[in-house]
Formats: sequence, structure tokens, C-alpha cells
Amino acid sequence: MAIIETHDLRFVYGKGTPFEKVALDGVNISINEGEFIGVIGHTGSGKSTLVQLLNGLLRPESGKILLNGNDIWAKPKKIRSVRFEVGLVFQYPEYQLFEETVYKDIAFGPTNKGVKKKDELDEIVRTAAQFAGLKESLLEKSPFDLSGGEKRRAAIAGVIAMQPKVLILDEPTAGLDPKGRDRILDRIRTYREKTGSTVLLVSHSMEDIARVADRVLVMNHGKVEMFDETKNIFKHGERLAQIGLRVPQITQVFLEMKRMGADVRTDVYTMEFAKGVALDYLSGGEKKQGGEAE
Amino acid sequence: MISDITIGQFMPGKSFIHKLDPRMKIILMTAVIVFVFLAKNLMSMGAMVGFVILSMLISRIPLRMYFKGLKAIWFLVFFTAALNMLYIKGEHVVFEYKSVTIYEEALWQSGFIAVRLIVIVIISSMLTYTTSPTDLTAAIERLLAPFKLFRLPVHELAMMMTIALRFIPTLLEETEKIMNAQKARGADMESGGIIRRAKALIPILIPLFISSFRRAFDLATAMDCRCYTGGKGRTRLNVLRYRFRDVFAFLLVGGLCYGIIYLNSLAPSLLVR
Amino acid sequence: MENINITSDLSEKDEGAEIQISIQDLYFEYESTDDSPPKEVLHGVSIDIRKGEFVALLGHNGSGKSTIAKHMNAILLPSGGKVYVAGMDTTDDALLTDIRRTVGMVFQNPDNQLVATIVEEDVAFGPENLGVPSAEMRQIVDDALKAVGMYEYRRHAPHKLSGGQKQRVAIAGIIAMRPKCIVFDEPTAMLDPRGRQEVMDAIDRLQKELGITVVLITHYMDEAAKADRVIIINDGKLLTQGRPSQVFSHIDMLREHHLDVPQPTELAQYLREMGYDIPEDVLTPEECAKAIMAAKKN
Repeated sequence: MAIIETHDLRFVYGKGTPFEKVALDGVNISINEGEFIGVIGHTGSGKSTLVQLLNGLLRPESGKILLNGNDIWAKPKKIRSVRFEVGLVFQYPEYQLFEETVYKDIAFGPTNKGVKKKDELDEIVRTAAQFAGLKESLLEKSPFDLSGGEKRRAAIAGVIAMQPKVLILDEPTAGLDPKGRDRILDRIRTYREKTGSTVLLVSHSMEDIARVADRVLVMNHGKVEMFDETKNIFKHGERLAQIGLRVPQITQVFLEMKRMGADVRTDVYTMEFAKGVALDYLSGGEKKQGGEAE
Repeated sequence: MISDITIGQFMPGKSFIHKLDPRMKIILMTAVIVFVFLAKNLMSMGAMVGFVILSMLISRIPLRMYFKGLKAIWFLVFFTAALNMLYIKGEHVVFEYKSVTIYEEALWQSGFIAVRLIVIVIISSMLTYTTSPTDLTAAIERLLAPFKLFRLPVHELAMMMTIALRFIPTLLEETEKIMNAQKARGADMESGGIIRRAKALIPILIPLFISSFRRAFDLATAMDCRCYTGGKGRTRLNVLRYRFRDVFAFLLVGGLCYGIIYLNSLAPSLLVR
Repeated sequence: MENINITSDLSEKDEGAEIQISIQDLYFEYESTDDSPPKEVLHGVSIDIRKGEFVALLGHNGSGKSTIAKHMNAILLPSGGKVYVAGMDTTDDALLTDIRRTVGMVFQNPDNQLVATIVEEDVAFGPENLGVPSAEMRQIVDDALKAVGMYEYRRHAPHKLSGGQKQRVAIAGIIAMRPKCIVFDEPTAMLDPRGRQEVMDAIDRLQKELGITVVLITHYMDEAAKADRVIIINDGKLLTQGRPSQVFSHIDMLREHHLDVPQPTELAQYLREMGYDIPEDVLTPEECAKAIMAAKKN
């Protein structure tokens, strides 16, 4: 069942000023419950606008957003409740930490949501911290004394603690080292497996998307360019490059071989699969998977 | 978006006034403001008002921009004029009703005060409309240079002003981001009484302060790396230079000032005292 | 931790080239504060950087690589050991300006490095501090902006530019001081792929066309692959160094130290282990594709 649907979504920045700019136009997507969606697109493609529309921070100029079949703007006064259902982790979320302790900061969201009972709140905060991979001992520390990666995870825990049905993360690994990045991606994956939540991951890194996403939404100039299963997306390496995106390096290897005249498949985006395809090619077993549409 | 707010309201253009050296502009506009207080009769004030209207036309700034600036002080103008009208005593009564007496002298006095206020606002908006913040800062630094003798940290003040101008848009953008992030965590900033609303600011102000400190620290390191050691021995990319048109403008305003003194002597003062 | 020794046969052009930065047995500890004892982050690092070289410094966060970089223009001073920049001892206060105009530094966050409200005035900030005569300044600023492809934006306000553009302005601000070497501390970490590409292209040009020595700190292996030499820092020590193809072929070592393995290198190594004739120095997708196709022909 679709948890989120959009109908002809349109959004314009600076309406009525000389700086008017159409950020999104004619966006129709449908996301199923429990899916892991990767969202890619270069800066200004509309992907950040889209995620802010999905949790009601921005109001569409026209078109509809349905959450569980209900128009989220049916009662504009109730829009705040949508933000608890669709949790949004912004880029560099560590800059939103403000409380004296990590514990209090994680509790900010659920308290706003109306969780009053102390033991219930405690349970929620500790579970969220666990999902984010924060040790118990960190909870009583000041968030400003944590390391960069820990701060980031504390901020993510603050959103997870609202127990949203849909979790959206905008560039959660930006600026981290490979260790910090792997840790966060692992945590998100575990969170989704254990809770069955729907997750949207916005990223510039094709390698990250290739590792985790079931389906990929490609945005370009405010429109949906592609929305398909991950393996089908990376077949279109040339098109992705045209719209300013990059395919994973491993995919580039096979695109390059194809360009030089080799007969190989190009829907390769994980290392394990690449090894198999390369071995097939070298052992002369070309066209083994025959009939792969290009 | 809030980051679109322009600071100082500079409106690029190519008018005679735009092209004047910013130092000259500051000096001349100060002179005009001083002399509007010296105009004492209808002739001298008329010359002043004529000059200001002429400059407004030359600046090629849409007139409504000037009126926009006036809107903010409209109340002040009205209020001071009204007070003066009620409290100043003179010899010629124009109007009398119960305990309220209005004298002719009071009418003149309030009229002059209103005109002075309006001229101050128009002239200072003209300065900010026609001068870029960078030029303004540079001019202030040069004009205040003599005060270095009195240990006034002129260069440091100008540097602070430049950095402030540079970072205001960045910090506005950041405020918007933090507000959105806290809203996404269910922060309620739109409802409740004053105390609740003030409390709702904490999740925005604390991250904003922390990020400002971090930026200040980063910027200080970056400035160190670029060999910044204060104002001593610094040179400038854009050197301000007086040109013929600055001399011309100087003579023009000089003429106006002389004219006002001269016209003052032709007829008696309309002001009290 | 065992120090993996990779024979460091650096390319011939570097041999004998003059040493620009010499780090000798560098120790560094952060001073103790009320609630923390002194923390040693560098324990005996020695690195020589030669004129015109492109060196990439790798290591996970907290490995000490940024701390090393900050010693290269006297932002930090050694607790032990010595750092020489073009023969100048960084602890000599009198030489501070000379050291900093010799080694420039570009940081991660482009927003926090720009001082002025107009691009060209920002680029002029360094030369202004150095007291360059106003008559020569215009040419220096224009040249610096052209070198990074930002000349058309010279009258723009920095906050209206994209991240990649801001970072290029920051680079121009350093070039305008005519340094011999520029240290880049994760200059692309906050940028999108397009911005990364713009900045890497600019860095490439500086090294190849202006002959500026480049020290690049990065987490991106494709960026490090462009360097003449890669140095891996771990736990405040130099773990290993060598040409990128040498260092990156030690996949297990990279993994152990939480560094990314370039995917083409990993694939090539796997195929080599499977008995195919694939060379050891594969780094880019193009090289990998060529190598596989060549192996097929044989």
C-alpha cells in the first residue's frame, strides 16, 4: 500500500517577486510502506524542496500530498502532526542540537509530540539512542562535547524519537569520513529492518544509494527524471551524466568497456555483482545473461 | 526567503550622485543636514527644499523609494509638529478653543521642524540608496582616520562593519535552516502567549550562537592564514580618488550653504528665539 | 600497529627537487584544560614535501592529518620536533608573515573563509595585508580570479554563489598572495559533485600550470588518486606512503584503517587473484576497463 503519494505537485519560490522560480512541477510519485527509496539529483533539482513538501514544512502551490490516503493540507492547522509522521533529518543536523544533555535533546521531538509520561519518554529516548548507535554513557553528556559523527547520530536520534512512519534523511553522510559514513548507513539500514519504517535517503553519493536503496528517484529541473528499481537506474549512466550526476565508479568501468566496444551488461552497481560479470566476460561467457535490454 | 532582505538598501545605478566619491557624499550630505537647521525664513528654507527635490530627481531613484523611507517616521513628524503647535506661545493667535490656543509662531515652528525631519530622512536614504555598503565602509574608515590620533580603533571598526555586512545574509539563511529543522521536530512557534513564544526561541538562538562562534573562530584562522595583522601597512585594491565631479558637487553645495546664510539675512527669522 | 612498508620509489622528477616543507620528528599535544589532561595527537611524524609535488594526506577523522596540515603554516606550533617552510623555522615569530605567504591554506567550509562583501575585494584581502601597492593589485586579483575561472563573478556578492564557486574564490584569495604551496584541508567535503569537480579541476591547474605545490587532505579516494604521492596517517603517526597505485593496492590495509578502497582497484585486484593478467596500478574506471579488455585479448 502506498504510504505517500503526490499528485501533480508544484512549488514556486518567491511567488510574485522578480526572483520567482519554479522549484517543482508535475511531480507524481507513489512510495510504498517499508520501502527504502534513494533520492538523487544535482543541487537545485528540487529534491530538497520535495522532502520539505512531504513533511509539510512547505505548502504546495498546487497539487496534493497524500499520507496514508489523506491530504496532509486538508486541515492546515493540523499540519504540525504531519511532521511527527514524516520525520525529516536536515543536512548537517548536528547544528540543531541545543539542549544541555543529549538525552534532553533527543526528548525534544517526542515532548513536542505530547509524550508526557516519564517512563514512556525514557523508553522512547533510549530506544532512539540505541538505533543511532549512541552509548548510554553519552546520554548525560552535553551534545557539544561529542565527536562530529556522534553529534550527527544524536541529531538523527532526535528525529527517530518522534517515531515517524516515514523517515527522510537529507545528505546524512555529508562531510563525514568513510568510517562515520559507513556507521550511519548501517544504522539507518538496521533501523529500517527492525521497525519496518519507510525511509527516503537523499544523497549525492551514488555509491551510498547503490548500497542501500530498493528504488531510486532521480530529480532533474524540478521534475521526476526516473523512478525505478536501483539496478535499472544505473543502466542509464550516460543520461545520468548528462543531468550532472555520476554513476558509481564500478558502473563506470562497465560503461567504459561498452563504449570501447565490449559486449557487457552495464546494470552493474555492486562489487559482488561486478566481479561475477567481469569473470563471465573474461571467461568468454559473453551474452550469458542474453537478451538484457539496453 | 528572509535571506533576500537587502542590507543598506543599495540600489545600483549610474546617476551623478551614484558616481560621487563616497567620502564626498558623506561630507556633503552632512553639510546639507546641518544647514537645514540653519535655514530660518521662507526664502532660505525654500532654497533648501528646492535643492533636495532637485537631488532626488538627479539620483534617478524612484520617488516612491523615498516615500517608503518617510513612512516609518510619518508618526514622529506628526507627533512633534502637534506638540510644538500646542506648547509654543507667541503673540499672534490663529486659533482658540477652550484651553487650546495656537499661535502663528507655533505653526511656523512646527512646519520647519517637520521639513527638517523629512529632509534628514530623504538625504540619509539617498546616501544608502546610491552608495554600496563596501564604499560606505571604506569612506567611513578614511574619514575617521584622523581620530586614530585619539586611539579610536578606526580600522578595526571598519573591519567589523565589513564582516558584519558579509555575514548577515549567511546568518539569516542559517536562522531559516535552524527554524525549519526545529519545526521538523515539532517545535511550535506560531501559537501561545509571549512567554511560550519567547521559550520557543531558545532552540533557535542557542544553535545560532554556537554556529556564529564556530564561524568566528574559523574566520579568524582563515584571516591569520591570509597574513592579516590589523590595519598597519595595509594597502587597498580600490583607492578612493576625488574627481572633477566631486569638486563640482562641493562647489554646488557650498553655494547652497552660502545662499542659505545670505537669504537668512534678507528677511527676519520665523523661528522662536 | 605494524608499519606496513611500501618501497617508496617516488617518481624521478621529485628526486632531487628542492624540499619546500620539511617536518622533522613532529610531536604535538593540545594543552590541558580544567577537565582534560594534555592530549598528544602527533607522535613523531617526519614528512618532506618537494617543490611542485602533489601530495594527498589520508586518514580517518582524529588520525591527526589536519593537525599536521596546521603545522605547515604555523597555525599550530610543534610541541616537539621541527617544521621548516622553505628553510624557515615555523617557531620563529619574526618569519610568520613570510611563512604564511609561502604556504597558503584553504579550509573545508567556504563560507567561513570569505571576508569581504564583494568577490574581488575578498581576493584582494591577502595582498592588501601584505601591503602590495594598489597599482599592482588589480592585475594580481584579476589573474587569481582567472586562474580559478571566477573572473566573470568578480563584482558578485559571495553569499549568492554556489559552494563550489565560493570555494574557488577562497582559492583565488590564497593564490593572490603568490604562495609556493597551498594546503587544502578537505576542500570538497561540503560540496556537491559538481562543486567537487570544479574545485578539483582548479587544484589540478594550479599544480600543473602555476607549478604550485599541493597538499590535499581528503576522504575521497578518486581525488587522492590524482596525487603524485599518498601519505596515510594513523594514530598520529605516518602509516605508509607511496604512489597512489602502490598504496591503494593494499586493500586490506585500507579497510583496516577505515579508508575507502577505489572500486576499480578492488575489481582489478580480484581479477588478478583469479589468475588474469591485470596490471597492479589500476586506479580509474578507464584504466580498469582497458585492463580487463586487454586481458581478454591475451
